[in-house]
Amino acid sequence: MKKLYLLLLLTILSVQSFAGSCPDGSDPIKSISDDGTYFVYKCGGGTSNNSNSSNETSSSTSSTNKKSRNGKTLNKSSTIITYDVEFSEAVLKELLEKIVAKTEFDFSSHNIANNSGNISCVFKLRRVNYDESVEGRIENWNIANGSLSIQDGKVSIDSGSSWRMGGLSSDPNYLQNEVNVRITKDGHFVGKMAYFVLNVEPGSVAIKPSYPKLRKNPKSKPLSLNSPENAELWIDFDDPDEQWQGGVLYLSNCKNKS
Amino acid sequence: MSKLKLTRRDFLKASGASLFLAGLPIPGYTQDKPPGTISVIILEGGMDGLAAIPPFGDPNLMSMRKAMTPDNYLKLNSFFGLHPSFNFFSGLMAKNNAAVVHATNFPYLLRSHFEGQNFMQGGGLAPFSETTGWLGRSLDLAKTPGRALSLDMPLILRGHNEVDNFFPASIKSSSKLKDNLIDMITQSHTNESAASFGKLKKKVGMEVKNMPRDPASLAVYAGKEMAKENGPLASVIKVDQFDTHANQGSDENGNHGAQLTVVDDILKGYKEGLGDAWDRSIILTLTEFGRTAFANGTNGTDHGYGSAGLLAGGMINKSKIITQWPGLSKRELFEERDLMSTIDYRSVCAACIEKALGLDHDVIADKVFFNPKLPRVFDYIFS
Repeated sequence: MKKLYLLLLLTILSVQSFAGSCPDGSDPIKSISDDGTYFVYKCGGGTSNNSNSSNETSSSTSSTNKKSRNGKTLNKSSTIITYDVEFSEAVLKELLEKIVAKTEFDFSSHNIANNSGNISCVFKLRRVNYDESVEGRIENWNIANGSLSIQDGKVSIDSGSSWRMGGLSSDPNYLQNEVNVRITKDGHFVGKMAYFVLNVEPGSVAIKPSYPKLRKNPKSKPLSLNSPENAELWIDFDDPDEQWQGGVLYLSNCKNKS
Repeated sequence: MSKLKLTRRDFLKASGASLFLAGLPIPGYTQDKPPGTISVIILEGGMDGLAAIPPFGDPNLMSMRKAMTPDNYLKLNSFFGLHPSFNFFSGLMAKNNAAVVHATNFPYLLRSHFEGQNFMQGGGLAPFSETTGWLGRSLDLAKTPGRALSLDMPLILRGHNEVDNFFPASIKSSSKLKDNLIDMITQSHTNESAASFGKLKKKVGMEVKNMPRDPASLAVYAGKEMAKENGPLASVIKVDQFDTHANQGSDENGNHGAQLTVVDDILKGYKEGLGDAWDRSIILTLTEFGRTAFANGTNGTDHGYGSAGLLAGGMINKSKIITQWPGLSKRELFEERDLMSTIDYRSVCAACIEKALGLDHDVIADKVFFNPKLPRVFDYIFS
């Protein structure tokens, strides 16, 4: 008998919960007005456009509250709600690292030669191929060449210099604007720069540059800042996909103009 | 063996997009340089706002579209998440340089791409009611009309004033533009305007032939141009393929996720190109409609109504989700099928114009969107 009463009670509750506000007991269908400025609730296919009707509510007057899944109250009021973005400290740090610029480099751990004077050099960049030997084979053609200037520790590539890898590399912009390199007090280049790894034939798909980090390399023969003449600066790649090759930047005819 | 590895994602990222630049200040006409720049990323096909910014706090979300909702979304707060494709955008969120307006759209209800795209670009009271676009009209009001850097200028940038189109920046089939055409256009201008065209001719001959055409690179290029002194104040990049009726996917490897990655790359490109000018920039997305709340029978979604708008730029100083959340239960959906739009996205566009171009909201509401009663949401976004 108790079970029957319980069943009856549940049936009544169920009917109540499905009951809508429409005369026929169905749920009203939410829509918006023709001019898009207020909500319209349709019952049984009929539409009322009277904004004062009890069956429709303007978006500026609707106000209900609802519990979200985690229990936080989501206030559906006439006012727009702004939800702050909340990250833990660890997540925040990880996310902020994603928006670092391609050539951004932290020089703080390097002893930069801020008083290097004004040095100019001719340069040529050659690829080292590690496919055939661990020591690498320096290829006998220049992948980039030209001249560069070093002023107050900052290395900038002179106009007229160029990459020789075809495709996008012929855009001088990469050498002018995407080189963030400094010279250390012991004559090494450190920083990041746009670097074209593969040669692109005319008509082939363009390949974007890589951005390797330039660091002190034990194989390098650094530039003497006191009597600059020549240097041989080796470049290695961190990306495993690109470690089949590296580079050597040869500096020659260096002169201190200051 | 070739060392070039081209994945499907790489291919999509390198696929076509269009860039349009406009609003070069004109010496002697533009009185005060507007405070910022405005860029619009048009997402053609209908971006799925519920996939891009999943409201995982809504109890109905998973029951209606589990197959469309990524498991690895980034939790933004207790109610909203961020699709994993938004790698860079999440960084901007962390830096307080990004915001999302959710459950929003232009008040267009009929789910036609053709009409919807016209309506969102025209910004009038109905599709095809305007021959000019809301951004173009805004530039008119800011006295920086025209000079659109394209041959086939989109509706959104068309202003009332006569506009010169001259630059094939990155427009398909425009590489045949001849120097003499630029010379001809140059002759119709004087002083600094003419000098600008001269520089352009030099560029056409030099860099453009090797300019990459993928969306991210176009954004870098646009950003660099906009960062220049007296550079364009507005840019528009169009991306398509958001119309995922089948096999929409859920994560960054799905069809829709791949397109969201393109949007993310564009934002990254803008940031890179703008450099220091990022601080005075605002970028917003625009899509003709959202998608149905329920998945269809082919693991996709169909044309809907409400969606989400992504905002980014240095002019945003607090990351947040702005919404009047309508809910996802059947009776809360528009026509029992689509996310309701509770914020008129024209208000969001108006706020961005107000911020970037320094125009008064009432003027924008009246003269740009022809709706003097358009609500002002500026403070929600920028304060």
